[in-house]
Amino acid sequence: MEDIESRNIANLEMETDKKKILEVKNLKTYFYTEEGVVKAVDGVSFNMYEDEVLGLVGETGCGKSVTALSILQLVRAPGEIEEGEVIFKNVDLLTLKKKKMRDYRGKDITMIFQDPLNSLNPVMTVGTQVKEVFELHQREEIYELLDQKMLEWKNKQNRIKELEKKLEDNETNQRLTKEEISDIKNEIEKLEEETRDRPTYRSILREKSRKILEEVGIPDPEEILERYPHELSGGMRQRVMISMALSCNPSILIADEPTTALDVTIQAQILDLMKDLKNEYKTSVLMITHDLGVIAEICDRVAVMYSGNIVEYATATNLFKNPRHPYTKGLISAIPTLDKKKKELDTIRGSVPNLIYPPEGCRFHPRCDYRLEVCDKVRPLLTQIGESYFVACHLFDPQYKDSPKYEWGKEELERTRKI
Amino acid sequence: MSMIKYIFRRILAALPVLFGVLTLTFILSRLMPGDPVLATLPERFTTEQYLAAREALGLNEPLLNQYFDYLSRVFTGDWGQTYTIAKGRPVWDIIWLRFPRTFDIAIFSIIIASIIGLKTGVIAAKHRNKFRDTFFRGLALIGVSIPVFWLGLILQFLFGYYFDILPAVGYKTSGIGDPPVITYLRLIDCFISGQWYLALDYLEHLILPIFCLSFITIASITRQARSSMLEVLEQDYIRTARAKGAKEKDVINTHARKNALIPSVTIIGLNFGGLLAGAILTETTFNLHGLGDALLVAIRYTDYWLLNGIVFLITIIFILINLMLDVLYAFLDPRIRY
Ligand SMILES: Nc1ncnc2c1ncn2[C@@H]1O[C@H](COP(=O)(O)OP(=O)(O)O)[C@@H](O)[C@H]1O
Ligand code: SF4
Ligand SMILES: [Mg+2]
Repeated sequence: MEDIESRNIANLEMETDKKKILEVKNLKTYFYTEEGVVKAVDGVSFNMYEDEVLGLVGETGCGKSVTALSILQLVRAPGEIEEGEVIFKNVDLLTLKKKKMRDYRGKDITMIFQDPLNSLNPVMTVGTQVKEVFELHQREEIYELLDQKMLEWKNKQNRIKELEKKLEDNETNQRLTKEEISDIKNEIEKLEEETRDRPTYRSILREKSRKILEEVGIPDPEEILERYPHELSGGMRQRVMISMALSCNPSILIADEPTTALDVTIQAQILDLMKDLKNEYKTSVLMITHDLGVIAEICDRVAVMYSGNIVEYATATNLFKNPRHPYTKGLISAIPTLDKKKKELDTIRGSVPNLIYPPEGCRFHPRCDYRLEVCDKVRPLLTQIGESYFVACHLFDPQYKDSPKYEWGKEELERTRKI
Repeated sequence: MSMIKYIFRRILAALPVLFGVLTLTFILSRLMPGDPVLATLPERFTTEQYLAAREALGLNEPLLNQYFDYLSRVFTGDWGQTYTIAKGRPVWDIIWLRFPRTFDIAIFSIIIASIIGLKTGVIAAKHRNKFRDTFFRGLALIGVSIPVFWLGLILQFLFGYYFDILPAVGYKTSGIGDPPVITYLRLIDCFISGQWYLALDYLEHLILPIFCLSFITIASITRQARSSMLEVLEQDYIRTARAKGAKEKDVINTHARKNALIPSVTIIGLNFGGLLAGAILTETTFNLHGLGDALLVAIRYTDYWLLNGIVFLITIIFILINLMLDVLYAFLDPRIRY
């Protein structure tokens, strides 16, 4: 069994000329609860490429959030990252010291969450929270900018003195024409206006925060900086979260169900915003969702997760055109479309398995209509079945092509009736 | 609405409470066993003397009249006289003499307890289930379950007699003078009149009672601070702070602490109220002649007027503290509208 498992760390190279930016290898995160060990993430592997959106999709409870939190090492007790590698730009993040890891969080890899109300600190203003990211990761840049602005400011002040001197001299020698005098006066006025506020660390920080809020489409950012999260709408709050996540120009943005808690119209707006920003900032996005509609809209690649494993991993186009894994098929046919009446929707029989005692073999076998005899005995591994296409299902393993189909008992079918 | 309006509204809202408490104390005091007249009479007395005294106290009036008389007296500031602690002295005088001492002890205890309790609570939460947590939780458990008079007795024995380094009872060395009464707060009066040795003497006497009261108060604040900190640390916004790359120290100090402080403030306020109302057992143990002490006497000897006066004062203290808490919440938590 062990050596078969190790095959699971398959070579997941996708055919693409884009640079690989994150490589998750055989990640396992367990929760040590009183009831037992919850194997929430049990050998997950995938790659992310530059300037691409990878969708991570699956039913609630299949381990999507835990996967995301594990990448940033934000899993809280009783959760432990058991093994695996998270390789970001040739560094295995899991081997880093805590302090070093902090430098990546919020700067190179950032994250936004499902519930934008609780994700913002209720007793801190939006401004304080947005500024914090800059202060954490861009102190030096701000000071550099400050030096530069100070220089400009001084130059302008010197220029004012120069001009005033000219006017003064003119009192005695009357060399300037009326027009020249008024030009000089105008210039002085303009310069005085521009140098009224001496640039400070604070003012630069504020300016940066204002700009980033503007970027995410928040009207009247000056005002919003002073507000508390509860004074904003859900959509605005999520925009604030996005602004914080983008403020240091990250390589990867992990979005854990960013639209789930929002109204439908707001969902579309936020999704559009994320698409625009992704193109503008060239950020790779890990889009976590249980909504295949979202995936179809924004993702370049998709990883389908089931019960702590990835069962299908392919480009979005191919996956939607021809889903292979029975679970993915079920998910896709469960999407309501115009010509399917709600009643006729195919859904998947049974329910999400227990993660403390997951089913033997293929974890999907108690719910699978295509089940083979071997399915409850041997665990299928993610294997390549075509160009940039990976599936973990025995149906696609030539080894089992002669394996007989499992006959569902009547009682068994009844027990796991489709809902 | 402005803060002032808000405060004013809260005061108005407190009036029914005040009224209710007055009524309740009146009823309860009349139901109390014991006869207040006896306290006003000499050791041996005649029936005529008794009846005259009863008449003089107004106890022959119908109850309802007595009730309204009592209400009008309370609001006009005439709180009657005491017949037990100092025969015939106005209740006000007793309160003015006794309350400042209680206040001194309460304020020192609550400040010390808040500083230490919030700190230990946060440390315990930060090191959940580790040694420091277990240690502070153990101490806090002892603190909340130990009978306060017992702790007082142990302290008295240890420091007052065994090591003999601190006075065990009273609030001043007997025979030592008093500062001129200016603010009624002995410590401040000592300073104003420049009598440092009196101040030192007073402080020396307060150490054990304050230690005793702080200890139990620290325990309850620690427990509250720990549990609210743990709750806050589970919140999504803490995860956001960590995801931003904030240091663990900043996560606790800037992101979690203010949120965790809000419930702790309640406990601090209620503890302070309790201390101001006179920590009866502690004051008696240390023989401090405070408000709690006077309350005990008033109850034991059915001193209606003293009892009503003290209960009224305590009610007002609690109302004021609640008001302060409300203002503090509005200050700490921007979600509260006022
Ligand atoms: N703190 C925790 N303690 C115990 N189990 C947990 C904890 N957090 C998550 N899990 C388990 O991990 C599994 C995956 O959770 P999650 O990643 O949040 O799912 P989702 O795919 O909906 O994001 C869940 O089944 C849950 O039971
Ligand atoms: S391995 Fe077997 S049970 Fe699992 S999805 Fe494939 S056919 Fe179904
Ligand atoms: Mg989730």
